[in-house]
Amino acid sequence: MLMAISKKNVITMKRSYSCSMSGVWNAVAHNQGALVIYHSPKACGHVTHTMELGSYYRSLARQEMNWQQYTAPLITSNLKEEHSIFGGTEQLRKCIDYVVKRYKPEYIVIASSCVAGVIGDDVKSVTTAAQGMWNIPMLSVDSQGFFNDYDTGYYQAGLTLIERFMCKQEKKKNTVTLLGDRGGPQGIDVQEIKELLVIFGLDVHCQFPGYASLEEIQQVPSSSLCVLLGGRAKSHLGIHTLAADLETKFDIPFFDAPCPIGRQETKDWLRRMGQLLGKEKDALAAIRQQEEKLLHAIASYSSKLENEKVVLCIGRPLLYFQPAWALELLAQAKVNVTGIILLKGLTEQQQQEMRIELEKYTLAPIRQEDEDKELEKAEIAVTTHELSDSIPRQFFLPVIPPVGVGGMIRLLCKLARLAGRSKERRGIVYG
Amino acid sequence: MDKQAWDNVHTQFNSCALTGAAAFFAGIPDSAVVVNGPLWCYFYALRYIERACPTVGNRFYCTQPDNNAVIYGTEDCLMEILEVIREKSKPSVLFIENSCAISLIGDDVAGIAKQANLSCPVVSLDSGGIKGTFSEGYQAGAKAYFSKIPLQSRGEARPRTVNLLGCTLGYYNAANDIEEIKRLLALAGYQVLACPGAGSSTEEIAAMTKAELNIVIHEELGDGIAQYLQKEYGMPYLSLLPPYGMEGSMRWLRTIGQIMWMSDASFAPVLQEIDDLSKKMDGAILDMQRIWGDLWFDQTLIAATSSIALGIAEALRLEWIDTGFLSVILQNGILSNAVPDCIDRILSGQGDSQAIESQLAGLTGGLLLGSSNEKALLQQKAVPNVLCQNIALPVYDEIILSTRPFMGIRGACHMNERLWNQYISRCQQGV
Repeated sequence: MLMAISKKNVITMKRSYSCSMSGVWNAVAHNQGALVIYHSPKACGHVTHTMELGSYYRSLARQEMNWQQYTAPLITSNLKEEHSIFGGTEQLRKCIDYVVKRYKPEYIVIASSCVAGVIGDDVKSVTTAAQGMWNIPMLSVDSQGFFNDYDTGYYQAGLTLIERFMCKQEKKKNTVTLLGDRGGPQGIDVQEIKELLVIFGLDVHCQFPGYASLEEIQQVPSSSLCVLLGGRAKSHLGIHTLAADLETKFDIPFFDAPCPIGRQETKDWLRRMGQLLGKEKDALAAIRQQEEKLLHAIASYSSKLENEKVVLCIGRPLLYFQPAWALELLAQAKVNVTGIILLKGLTEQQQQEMRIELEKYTLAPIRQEDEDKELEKAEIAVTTHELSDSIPRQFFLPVIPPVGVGGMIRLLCKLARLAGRSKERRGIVYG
Repeated sequence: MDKQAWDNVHTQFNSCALTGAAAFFAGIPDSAVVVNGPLWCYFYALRYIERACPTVGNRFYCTQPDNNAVIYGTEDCLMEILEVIREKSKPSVLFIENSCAISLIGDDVAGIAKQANLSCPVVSLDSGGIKGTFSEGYQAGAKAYFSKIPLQSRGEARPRTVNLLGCTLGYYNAANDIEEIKRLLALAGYQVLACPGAGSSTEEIAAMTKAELNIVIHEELGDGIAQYLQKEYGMPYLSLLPPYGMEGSMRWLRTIGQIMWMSDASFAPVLQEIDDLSKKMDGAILDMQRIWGDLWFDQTLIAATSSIALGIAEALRLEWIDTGFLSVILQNGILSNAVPDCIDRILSGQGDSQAIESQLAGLTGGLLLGSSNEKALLQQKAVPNVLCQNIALPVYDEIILSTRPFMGIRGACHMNERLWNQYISRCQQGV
């Protein structure tokens, strides 16, 4: 009998699973002097705080913590049932008055919840009036909770900051503004990108929209280049819009490439960056250096990985998981990909889209979860979802793939550790 | 004058009513839960609950309404999920809860569910964050259950039988605590008929009217239910602080015994166990005391939901440690229940954020019994040498896999063990 292999019920994601308010929060959470108001029930603040606390402990565990890092106060206007009848704008006005006096922020960013959206509160008018009264910059971000998604909130907040705080500046040569998050300046991904930029003599001015003081935000237009830290698909579109806005308004060119994942993308990224800056020789040297780094890593891990029978299990739709980097990782690891299984959570259309994408990169047989026989023979399952305990050793693919050759080496290292694990022990390693 | 205060969410920890209501139903193993709302809210509640109930995802569904549904109603997406449940799941009871925004659009969820011709009763509720916090959601969910699904007629009560009310697996280490309470009661000659919301099936809940007494374990969750059951079924109840510490557990049992006319002889096995364990514990502690000195803290801070915080505060000061000043943060806000005399200061986790921050800042060398949230605040403020123990969610830095409760007699041993081992470890670090 064929069994369901997903450990958890794989949810068919019909639409976005995120909330725009948390995107607004992440866009300014660590900007010195900022304060964030959610025009929402109190619980929305608790949800974001839970997410923030998880990130805090992840950073602590990875020793990526910046102890001096500012965290903005997060306030909710505390919408309750009665506001659904009488409106919540008066509540928001009182909330703004209170937080201005108590927290004395340099500026306030206001995100609206789905509740405020259904009620129909005119948040913009309240914000404009309060700003006139208190003479502090107050930015209302057009978000409305789940009616939009995380990316929309994040990039909309960025566009609002650009609109409000930036004006043309004289350019400073070789300065770069990084656009996007990627765990912030202490995060290993941003460190990886900075290392690549140093090769071209570029100096990072700041990261935007998050992790920047008001002064740094105001200085963004003096950068000579913007580099994108975003991911793929929708996230990349958002960051692209942000970069295009900066280019249009302040003549800052941007390097139009997503964050490089893995070997080939890093090579392409370096080559294109070299062309853009007229430093092709530096780019070639950097490519060689990265290749050597990767080959060295492959040499040390290949004996553990070579010819391991691996099955790739995919439960995320193409919008959230582009398989090219995962297939490249497996190719670098020299494992034997015996099959690809599309998990039940994907709709028929999502499965079809994923098949078309996969066929661009691999000849491995692609099956649905119900047709699966491959798992029984596999030694390792490389997977986007945690699978049933009866499945062999599992390697969990990260939702946001790590940046550059360095990121790929870290994944190879973990994969090799998993391959070295006793087959009886089974279990999962998180990539 | 408007006395509202808008506190920084970072000093608080709570969860929303949607999670609380879902937690009650998730604690009924033959139930299924449908969140009529966005995936964001659904995933938050799911992740919260599945820490304690790892398989709950298999009976926890989401309708994923889109923006149009907010205008035209959620009937289509709800019917789609109900079809799936009718075909695959066949629960004994189905709970449908509306998220904040969906609760405002006025869908007749019960009417829609009727059209689906399910074979089980359906309980529906507006229980988004706009309705309040975890405890408010839990109580609302429980009341909706008892209002919808009649229990057996009371008739004659079975002697020495009780029910436990206000229990949830949504509290830290709750499964171990519930087991210990049941064990203690069994040792004293009682049988627990049902524990609604924490493991009892619909069948067991239906027969709970045969119990002599309802015992409320967490009053913030169970008092309202106890009052309802008293009014509707004439079931008497007793609401006490949970049993922490050896003496505390004995006091708790004696109070129950007085109500149920139990003779002192029935406590003999409990007293014997306390005597045996006390001898063992006292000997071990004295040995350590001679080497490492007294378990003394100038300042002690406890942060948890009210019943846990007050119960532990009492045991801590009367039985476990010596401290100069004992403060307690009630994460769910100030409640009306009696505060033990041994507490020097009570703070509301939902309204005293400035006082909480200053209390944490002054905790150098002290003891914190709380969650990973307060611990993170201490780390961010660089408050040195604080001995920290987790007693409440969220917990990101500890796992408990063995049967080690905080409550009851075994809980007293466990808490002493944790406190002493951490204290010794701190001494060894030269602090």
